[in-house]
Amino acid sequence: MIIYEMRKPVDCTSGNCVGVMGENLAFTQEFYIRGITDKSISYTLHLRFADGSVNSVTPDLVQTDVQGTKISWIVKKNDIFRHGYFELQIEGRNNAELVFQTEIVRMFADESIPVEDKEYENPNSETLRLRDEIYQLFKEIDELKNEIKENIDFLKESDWNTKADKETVDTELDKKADKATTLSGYGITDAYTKTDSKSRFALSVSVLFDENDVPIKTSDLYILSAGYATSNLNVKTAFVSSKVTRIESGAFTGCSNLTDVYIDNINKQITIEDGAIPDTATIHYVDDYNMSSQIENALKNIEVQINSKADKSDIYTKQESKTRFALPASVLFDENDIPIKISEADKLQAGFATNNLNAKTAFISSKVSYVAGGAFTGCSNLTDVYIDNIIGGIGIASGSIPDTATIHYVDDFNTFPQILNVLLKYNGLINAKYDASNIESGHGDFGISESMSERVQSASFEYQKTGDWAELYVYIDFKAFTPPSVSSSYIRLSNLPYVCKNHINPREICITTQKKQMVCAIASNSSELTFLFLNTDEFVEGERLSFSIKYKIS
Amino acid sequence: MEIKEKITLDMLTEDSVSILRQQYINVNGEEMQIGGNIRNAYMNSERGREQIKTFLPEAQYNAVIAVWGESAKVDI
Repeated sequence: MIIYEMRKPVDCTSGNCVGVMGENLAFTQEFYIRGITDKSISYTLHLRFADGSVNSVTPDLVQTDVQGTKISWIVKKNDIFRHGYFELQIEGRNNAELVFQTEIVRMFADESIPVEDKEYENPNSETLRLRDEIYQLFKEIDELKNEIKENIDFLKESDWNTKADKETVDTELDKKADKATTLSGYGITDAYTKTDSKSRFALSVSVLFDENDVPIKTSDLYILSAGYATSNLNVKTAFVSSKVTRIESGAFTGCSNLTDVYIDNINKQITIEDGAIPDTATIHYVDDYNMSSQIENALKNIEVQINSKADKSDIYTKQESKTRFALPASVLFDENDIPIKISEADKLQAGFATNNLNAKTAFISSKVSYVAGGAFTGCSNLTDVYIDNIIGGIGIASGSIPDTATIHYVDDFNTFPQILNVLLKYNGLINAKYDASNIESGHGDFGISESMSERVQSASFEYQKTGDWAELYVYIDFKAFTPPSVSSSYIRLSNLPYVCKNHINPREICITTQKKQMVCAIASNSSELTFLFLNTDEFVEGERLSFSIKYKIS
Repeated sequence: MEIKEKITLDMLTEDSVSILRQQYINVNGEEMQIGGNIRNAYMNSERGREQIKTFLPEAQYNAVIAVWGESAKVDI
């Protein structure tokens, strides 16, 4: 319960009057809350004025006794936002954050002194803001006043005599034509209309440019069909003429370096089929496309390139070089880069290399326009297929080339390195073949030891060396003798033309002119020819033995 | 007309050598072979060493011996 100890103003018929000026006002308002004896409670006075503004005031004095708590509020001018009736509520909060609020009572605040009085601390921030806004408005008003004054002065200085009255102005305006939208409407006859400019200067053909803005293909077609620039890796920018009505699927398929396509058709009245232009390229719809800057740039590039070229008189053009030096036929190479098949066909049909397990690399000539299904089917060792074609136009049937092979599109394919490699390999192979350096023929006499001289009258040979082999044609004339035994008798002749390098000793059965059988043998790492007797039949004087034997010499 | 003999030491190893003998004559400034190739192999044996000593010129003999060493290495 709150006890109010105050005097009511004369004009107050109800409520309580507080304030800092005027009669019948309480300068200090005291409240007593019976039953509240907690000294730890902190109190706040919440005020709400007639205009809706609110304020919270901390009491200046709080006194607690055994029966209750007295709250003293010394009313200051900054506490009162608006004079007149206002509502008050007391809020208490203890250490445990427990809050209680009293009932709301209605009080009356009389006028207070101006807020600007410096003796008061903590000026009302909202009031200050309003004051600042008013000052700004006053400033703007002053500026407007100055502008008005300037305008008035200007008007005063104007010669009103030269000004036409409204009627005159209207009359003259009626004589003027309405705003025109064409050159002829303004009577201009010496300028190109948009249509004229378009027909004279705009793009009349579709053009492909490379990364150096050099034109690589032009076309005056109305429809850009599949194959127009298919798989052309040089294309970076494409300009589509206003005459083109349709771009079909496949027109730019495979142009992986294409970044921008400019279509001279601002109203997009052109059909572009799905898959016609790679998703990586940006399409720009333009109007009245002027190629002058691109053409200028291209000409500059061409000029630079021309200046860096040698004179035509002493060089081959690219086409001439291609005709003379590039691969004129399709070739299959094995793993040793040995050509195993060559074809001048312009179409590689099924069976061209079907199931050829030796094929490792294939080179397809620029003349080939089509690779049929089955052309390389079954070539499981085929790893790379080089196609001399980067401008497109070659058809490759599904399944014609194994998925395991990598397809390389190349230009002006120079096979010289491969041809040189082949020649080098052939040179190695040829060197391994027989020629004068590893073929030799001759003759010689065997060495006859003293003990052998009792049995052999003469012994000679003719030889033919071929690579690592030597073939002997042996001629022996015997003296008359009788082999004492088979097991221990032999004839040994030395000085073969080459030392025998056989792992297994070569042996031959030979027969004399008197039908004596003997075994001829050459021991490994020996240059001696040994004859073994098969029986002890007597040899007659002049009995001859001739035979041939072949053995390894290295 | 002088006949020149060309001796080629072929396949010279520590154990053997194959000796090619060719004869040439000079006809109008050009050397022409006559008589075909004569070839014999010799082992680094006692007998082989004696054989090459008898018919090889000293220079060629020394060249062979330089590889064969001072003593025979093959028994046959």
